[in-house]
Amino acid sequence: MQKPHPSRALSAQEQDALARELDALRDSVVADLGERDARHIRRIVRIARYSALFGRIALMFGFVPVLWPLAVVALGISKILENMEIGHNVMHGQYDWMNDPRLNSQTYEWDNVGTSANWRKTHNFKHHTYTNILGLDDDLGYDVTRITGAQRWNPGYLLQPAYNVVFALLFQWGVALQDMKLGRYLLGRRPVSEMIAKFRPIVRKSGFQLFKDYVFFPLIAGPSFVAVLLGNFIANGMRNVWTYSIIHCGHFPAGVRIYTRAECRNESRGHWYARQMNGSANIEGSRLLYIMSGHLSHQIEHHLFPDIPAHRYPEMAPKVRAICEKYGQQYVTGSFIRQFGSVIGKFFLYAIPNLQRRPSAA
Amino acid sequence: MTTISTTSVSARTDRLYRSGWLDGPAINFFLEQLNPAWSLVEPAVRVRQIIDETHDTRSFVLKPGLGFGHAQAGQHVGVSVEINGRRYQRRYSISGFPGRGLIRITVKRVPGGKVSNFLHDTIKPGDRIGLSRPQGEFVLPNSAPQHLLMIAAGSGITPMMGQIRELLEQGHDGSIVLLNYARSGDDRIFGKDLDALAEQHPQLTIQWCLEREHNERFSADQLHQRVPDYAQRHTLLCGPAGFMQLVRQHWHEQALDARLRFEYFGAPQPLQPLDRQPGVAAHIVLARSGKRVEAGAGQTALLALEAAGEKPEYGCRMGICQTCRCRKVSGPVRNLVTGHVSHEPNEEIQLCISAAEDDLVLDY
Repeated sequence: MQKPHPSRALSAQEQDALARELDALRDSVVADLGERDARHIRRIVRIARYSALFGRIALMFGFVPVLWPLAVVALGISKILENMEIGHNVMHGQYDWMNDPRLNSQTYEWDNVGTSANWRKTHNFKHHTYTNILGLDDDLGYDVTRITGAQRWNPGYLLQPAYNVVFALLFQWGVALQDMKLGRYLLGRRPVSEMIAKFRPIVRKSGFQLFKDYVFFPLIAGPSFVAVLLGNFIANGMRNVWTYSIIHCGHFPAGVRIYTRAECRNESRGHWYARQMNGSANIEGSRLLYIMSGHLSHQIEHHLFPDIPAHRYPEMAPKVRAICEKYGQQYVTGSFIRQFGSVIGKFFLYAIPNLQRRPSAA
Repeated sequence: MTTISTTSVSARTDRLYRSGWLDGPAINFFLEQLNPAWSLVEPAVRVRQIIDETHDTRSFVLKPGLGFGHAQAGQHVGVSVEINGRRYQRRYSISGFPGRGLIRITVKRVPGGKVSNFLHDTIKPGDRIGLSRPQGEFVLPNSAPQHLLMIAAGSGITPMMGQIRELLEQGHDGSIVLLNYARSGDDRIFGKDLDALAEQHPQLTIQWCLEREHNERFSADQLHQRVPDYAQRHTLLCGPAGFMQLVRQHWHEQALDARLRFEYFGAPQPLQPLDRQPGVAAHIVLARSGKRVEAGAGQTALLALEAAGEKPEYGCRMGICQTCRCRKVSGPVRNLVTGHVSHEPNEEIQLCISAAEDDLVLDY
């Protein structure tokens, strides 16, 4: 049995009132969008592009002492900014109001082996609509990790603390393949022809990414071939581990609630809002952490308002928290170490079958 | 009417920008950093000169960059400006070619108009504005008909100014009559230039029809009196929509439709307004197929399209996931979540939470 969740159940009227308050907060920010937001995202784009330019050029001169690690870090930071604060947020439509074709949610393609089209489906639609609903939200454990006692156990999960290390290092490949649901084909439940058709765009995209980082740039570096190849490999790894860590802090730390399908049937807008609040967790930290996490440090605000420019979340957070308190909903937040530590704890806890508790312990 | 391409650059440039293998967006970023006019998305070109034409109309001389292509008199260009972080795009006719590699657009202030007022109040020589490639079919045929009638009202003169100059420079010797409607003597756009041209070129006749001074408006009688041989002339027409409906109606009644070419500012209007069945609040025109779909009051565009057998992509159906995003070419939509009504042309909307307030054109 699960412990009852600390958030109180809301009546239909309360749900509507909650939705009205959050809609009003949303409207006030939307009405204020302008120059400041455009400047912010363009500045981040500039930093990411120039940091990549510096990294890629400096890697070719990797034989100069200290330059090589600097270059790797610059390229890694560029990839993190591009994936998190730019790519993820732009694809949510956060900057569509600018009407700038360079920042359009439907045409943006990010620096990741996963295709933007797949991401828009698995993330924007499935994950953000069905957040934390077991069986509907594929992001709950990403089909590889058992993150709650409600998931059926099998012996493979005994290894999850170990294989999550590999998963973290290769996180972009997890993102790329998530929508494939390869298990269905391996078990023969779906035709292989469909698998090949779905594979094609992924192969094209990842082929380009691999070509860029492991063939093109190393080749033009000539004698620095190995320095560039290795640098690109580490920069991609940096980005993978970082995004993996931030994303796992979003919905898996202790206190975050998981829902069943039955609970969410015909749910109201207010219920959807409450589910986003209770199903997400924030990370506390500095502005630098916020930006490097693409403001997923404010996962709660992001899930309530996925299409509001993310750099607005920190200033919305106190208001959201006040609304949470008013309606008796919990607001899970903590330092990065605490949140990520709690997730790692779950890897171990749920690697083994559920410990039977007596019903009275609930 | 011409279909408007939604990209600002040539198909080849657009392909380069979208190219994954060449990383088009990265190439574009550094090109734009070097020179905004080299953009693969939308070149930002400098305003060379600003000329006051009347109390509320100004001309802007621009220098298009490489890849702009060949512009013809009578075509229009997309002009975009950024106001408080938002990019707004409008189309303006090319009103002339004031020098080698230069084009001129002429902009009349629209009361409450976002872009026209911004151009007048904020843009100074040396500033940059976004410029897209020329488009439009309102151009003179290769061999211009001998006898022409041009009917312009207000800023409808802008595409014709370039055409008249071009004809005269090419030595056209047939007669050209320009029937030019303006509110008052002070509102005569290119008044001095036109009068000077008429003085130099006897084959050009300019007839000013001034509403305030002479209470002169378009009517069948007025037309007969001003241009008795109008039925024998090839006619070009450009002006506000209401004015153009009157003129087109007259040509239609005389069975002269084939002799009339016209250009609307913005979306084309049918000669007769469409009849709406009861329960139909608006029509949604799907620009790519030309299909017309009926929408009920407050019905989301997504439902309206689905009811008509279309299969637009969708996800959450509650305004979160952006799967059903679509470009609205023109017309007013209400955002059903916020209640906000937007008339802005060329903007992105989410079909699942947008209802047509009136007839819409979607880039679908």
